[in-house]
Amino acid sequence: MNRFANLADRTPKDEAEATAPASLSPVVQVPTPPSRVGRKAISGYFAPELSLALHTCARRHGLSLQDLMAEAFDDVLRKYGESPIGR
Amino acid sequence: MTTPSHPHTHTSARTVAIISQKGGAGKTTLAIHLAAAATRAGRISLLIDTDPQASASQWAEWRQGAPPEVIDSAPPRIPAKIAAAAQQGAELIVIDTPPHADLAASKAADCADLVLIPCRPSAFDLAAMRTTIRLVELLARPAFVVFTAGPPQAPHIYADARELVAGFGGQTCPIILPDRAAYRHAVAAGQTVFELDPGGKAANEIEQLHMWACEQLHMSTFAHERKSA
Repeated sequence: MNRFANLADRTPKDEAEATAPASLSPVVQVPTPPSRVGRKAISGYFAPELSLALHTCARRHGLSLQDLMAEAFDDVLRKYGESPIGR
Repeated sequence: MTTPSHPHTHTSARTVAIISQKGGAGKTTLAIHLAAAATRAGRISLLIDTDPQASASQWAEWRQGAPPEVIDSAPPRIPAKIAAAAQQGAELIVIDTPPHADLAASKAADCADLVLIPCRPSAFDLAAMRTTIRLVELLARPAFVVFTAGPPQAPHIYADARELVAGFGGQTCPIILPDRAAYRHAVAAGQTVFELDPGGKAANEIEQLHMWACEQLHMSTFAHERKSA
């Protein structure tokens, strides 16, 4: 009765590998996605309500969260008399 | 302004998203039992577990492969998994989401034909549920608050809670799932209330909720009607 097992993210084999000692796990080189090459992550911890409000605002205006944040950071730079950087 | 996508409109599969920003509202219990009720009615159902805590997946492991089937999914892959599951014969797909998960809740609601928002009938839970209602309003999906885990005999509490939800612009499901020990005992044993106590109140309430959900999804509630259709 495993009609949809092929759709799972984690297979039983993955689970076994995940619980294996770290020293036995091969080092996997994950290539950097092209959209992140030459870029730097900025993060912070905020109220879940703020996170939801940003997601819904982005969606309402047909933007990605990244686009919305870039716009917000430029706005705050202008507010403090700095030059906006754009994307 | 982007138009919400309907990745599975070409199939007969229906998708129900269970979302709530607040934890402890019984999302996983509701998801498990809705999928189980569909299985019991002869449908091929699938539960997609997007919660990193993987409670539904753990429950499925305890069941050792007994239906309903549970698969995990990272939120961005939900639409593709729904489309693939529909191609593979799924008739009812239930998506369980973690609390405080904007991306998972948004992706799940975006793919859903029906959104259920389980909520305890308490002031704190109702206030938190307001943000969930805003999310589904934005995505323009049919959504209903389902009162869960409250006292079984308290009509005034539920009447007040319904009024509050209406004040937020939300709709409420007419079926209430009060707190019943059968849920805790069943889930802890890798079972459903149908298996633990088939004639009990919890099983009866879940069955009513399933039939109500089928009506919302324009699905037949009887196996013989489907076969002759």
